[in-house]
Amino acid sequence: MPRSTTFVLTVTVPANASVFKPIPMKITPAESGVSYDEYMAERLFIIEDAFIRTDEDARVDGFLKVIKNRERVMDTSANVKGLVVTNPAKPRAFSNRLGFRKGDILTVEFLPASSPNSNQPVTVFLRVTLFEA
Amino acid sequence: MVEDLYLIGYGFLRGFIGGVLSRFGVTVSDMTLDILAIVIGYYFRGRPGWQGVVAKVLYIGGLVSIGLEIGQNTGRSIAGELFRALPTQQASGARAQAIGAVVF
Repeated sequence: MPRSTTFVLTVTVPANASVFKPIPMKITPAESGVSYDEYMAERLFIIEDAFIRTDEDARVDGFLKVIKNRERVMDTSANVKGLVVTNPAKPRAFSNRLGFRKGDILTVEFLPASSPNSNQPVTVFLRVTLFEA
Repeated sequence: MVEDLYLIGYGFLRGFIGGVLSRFGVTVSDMTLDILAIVIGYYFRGRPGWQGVVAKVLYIGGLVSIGLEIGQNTGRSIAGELFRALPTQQASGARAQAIGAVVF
């Protein structure tokens, strides 16, 4: 039976970060609370969408780059600032649903579109469907 | 052969300046750098020694580069006129189709 869960992506964009220079994000499955730089799929899962809760979650414009097995860019998201979950006109973050099979490695990079004056934490949530074996 | 060196030298100089500026958050368009290079090169190309060589590199490289850019922009806008509707329609159709699908 598939079930929905959330992966929390966190990163701190350093002051005067280079624009569009990728910064690796920490991946924390909400259920376990254990954080990973690289998340290896225990079972088939599909990334449905990404969102932020409020403007406070992303004070920096930027994009998510979802990478599979350290080599393949699955998709680059829409600007995370526009992904506020309460917005009724929220666009989809990705142009496809992104599937990962058991054993696939998920890494996510954050590409800041602007350079902040001070360190800025960014938190983005991935809506994920897990398929239990 | 000498022309090749001019072009490589100019490409390196322009890339280097663009890189340094972008590190400080300043974005200067390639065409602006080309125009600057042509103007500076034009005035200093008669100088003796290394100054003259650098100026000549800037002058010749700048001319080639600006020609390339103008040609590229003209080509792009003409192609845009010819195939105006095509790419966006295709893209939105593909996107709508893909939202339901899963990519592995």
